[in-house]
Amino acid sequence: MNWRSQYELFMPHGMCFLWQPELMALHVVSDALIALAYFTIPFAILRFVQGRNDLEPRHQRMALLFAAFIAFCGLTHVVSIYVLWVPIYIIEGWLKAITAVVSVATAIGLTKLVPQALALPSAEAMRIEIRAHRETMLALDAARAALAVKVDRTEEALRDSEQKFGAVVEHMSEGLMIFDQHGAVTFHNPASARIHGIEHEADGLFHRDELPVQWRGWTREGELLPFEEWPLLRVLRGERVRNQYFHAERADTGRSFDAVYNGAPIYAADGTLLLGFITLRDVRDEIEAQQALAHTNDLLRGFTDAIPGVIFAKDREGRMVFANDGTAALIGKAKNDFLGKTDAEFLDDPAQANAVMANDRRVMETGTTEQIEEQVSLPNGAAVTWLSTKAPLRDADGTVTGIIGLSVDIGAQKASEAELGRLNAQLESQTEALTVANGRLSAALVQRDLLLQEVYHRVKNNMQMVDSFLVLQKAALTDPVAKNALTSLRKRVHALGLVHHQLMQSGNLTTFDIAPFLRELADNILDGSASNDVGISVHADTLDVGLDFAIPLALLVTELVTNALKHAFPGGQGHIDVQLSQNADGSFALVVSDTGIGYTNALGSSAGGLGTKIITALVRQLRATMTMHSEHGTRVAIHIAAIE
Amino acid sequence: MSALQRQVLVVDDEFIIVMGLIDQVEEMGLTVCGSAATADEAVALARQHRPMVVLMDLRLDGTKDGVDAAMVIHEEIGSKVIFITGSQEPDSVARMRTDHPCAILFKPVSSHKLRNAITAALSPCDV
Repeated sequence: MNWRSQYELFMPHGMCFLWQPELMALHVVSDALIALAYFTIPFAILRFVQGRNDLEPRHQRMALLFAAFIAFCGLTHVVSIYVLWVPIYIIEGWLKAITAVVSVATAIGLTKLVPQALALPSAEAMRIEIRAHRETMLALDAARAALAVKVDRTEEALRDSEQKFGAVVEHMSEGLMIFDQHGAVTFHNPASARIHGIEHEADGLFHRDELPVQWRGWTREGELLPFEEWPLLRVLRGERVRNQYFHAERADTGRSFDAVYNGAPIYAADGTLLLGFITLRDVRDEIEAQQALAHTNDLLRGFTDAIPGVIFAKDREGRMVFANDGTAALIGKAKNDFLGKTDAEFLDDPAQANAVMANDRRVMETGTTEQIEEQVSLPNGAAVTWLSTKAPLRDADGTVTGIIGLSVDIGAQKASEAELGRLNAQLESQTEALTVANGRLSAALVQRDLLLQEVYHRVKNNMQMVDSFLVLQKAALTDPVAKNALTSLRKRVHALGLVHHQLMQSGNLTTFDIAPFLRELADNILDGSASNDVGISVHADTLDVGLDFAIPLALLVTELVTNALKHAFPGGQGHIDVQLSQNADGSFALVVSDTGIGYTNALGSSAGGLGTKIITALVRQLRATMTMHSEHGTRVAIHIAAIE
Repeated sequence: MSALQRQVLVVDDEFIIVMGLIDQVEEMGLTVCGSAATADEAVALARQHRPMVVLMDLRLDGTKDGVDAAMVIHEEIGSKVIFITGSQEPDSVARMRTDHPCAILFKPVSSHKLRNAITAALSPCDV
């Protein structure tokens, strides 16, 4: 075939249509639309292939082949239009041949793809399946979430429990020590570290073989403890350790501790030793407290044994719980034979035992300390009276738990008391005799008083007689000087009478208060004078005096006041003051002063010097000194020595 | 019953004392109607003379004392009795006080005390 001659050789296809425009147009438009549609489809397929990256490669190739087949189909339609005017039928034929090849290949490929395409589920089926899947997924999610919560809780519980046990182990006062089956320590709690003196954690993680290098161990009894018997070794051997006392000392540091150990091995399911643990309690304080208590007990025993007498303690049931040597001596048995027993069990005399126990019960019930006399015979049968001081024994709450007692042999005291009683009786009878004697003496005193009264009475009666003589004598005289002398004598007699009068009034008949006496004496002198316009005042300290002092004093005052009345007041008016006071040294000051003219013959001159003589004699008798001033009235001061 | 006489009866068993008292009474310008040494004499003289004032010692001869006599005299005659005594014993004083004494003077008695007592006893307003 001649490619180039085809244009001349063939006629355009339009000629077949006779160039009829309508038919031409019908073919051209239809072929053009078909071609346009066929060219569009490959683009859609290309876009699909590009967009779906999950396609299998063979499916991708199949899609591209299909696109090529469509494109070639479109191309045949374009050529169909072109041949209407240009007769390129050879090219058209080849084009169709190529299209045919592509079409056949496409058809074969598609045919092979059909069973696979059939196997593909439908969209609805896919939706149902997808929904089911989604539900399954939700259920799974929920289950997973639930599981997660459960796991969280379990973990939390585990953590919580771990924390709790951790805290317990951390804070417990007992030490806890854990070690593996080879004897390598893996854990100390703080108490264990403290007791063992471990400052750094690593120091505590020792192996058992390191222990005997530095440490030595002893038993409670102070015997060196072989290493094999140490608590850790015993546990490693599979033994349970119960309350093993262990005293350990470090050779290098000298550190020591006292502890009580407990421990046990822990086995795995197959029966092999897994690990071991030990707990330990620091008993250093307890040991020391026990030692202190033992020391106190020794002291108590030492004291109580050294004291003569009986010292004991009994419990609430009356059983002897403590006794000193004196108690043992009293009972006549060894302490072990009566400790823990009641009086009824260890005393031979049931009546004495009952009495003692009754006293004990009363002290415990009333809770008051008592002193009781008890009869407990000695082992040799000698009856002894004991003075027992029994006090309730109380615990810390104040509950009476028993009784403590102290008994002293008061046999000798009893004898002394009897002797004392006898002496007392004797004394009483003597006192009685003395009382009788006193009574007699009192009666004698009364008698004496009566006699004194009688004497004073008679003295006064006699003075009255003397006074009568003077009165009668005076009446018989005519000389005024002589009369005055007798009047002065009467005054002196009255002064003496007043002294006796005071004595009779006083309780003891021997002394009296000088103050009221001086007042009465001065008043009497003034009343007996004719000086109506003269006043007299007395200032005297209260002072008990006897006859020896009172008589000279009374006579002195009488003379001095009488003189003042006679000489000081020619005008008839004035005042006299009498003062008697006692000085700190016991001496007295008698001052008689007046407001008169200041006469110089105060010592008296009228009675022929008798007044002067009397005053001088009395001053001497009183061991006194006298001074006299006569300015602004007369003032006579007499200083009297203290009464011996 | 006739009126009392302005006279004084002196009773004391010591005659010297009686004399002294009489002297002092008479010095006052008064009349002494008599003196007695016993209670009975005193009562008899008082009945006879009805004196206004009796100076009476406590202790007298005989079994009765001045208080006994004064009781009778005070009751029967109504004389004022002035006791003049050396006794100061409370018992004696108490006895004298029961007898409505006009005054009690203690021996030795000064002239002015005696005078004051008698003057007071003679004054009509005295109880």
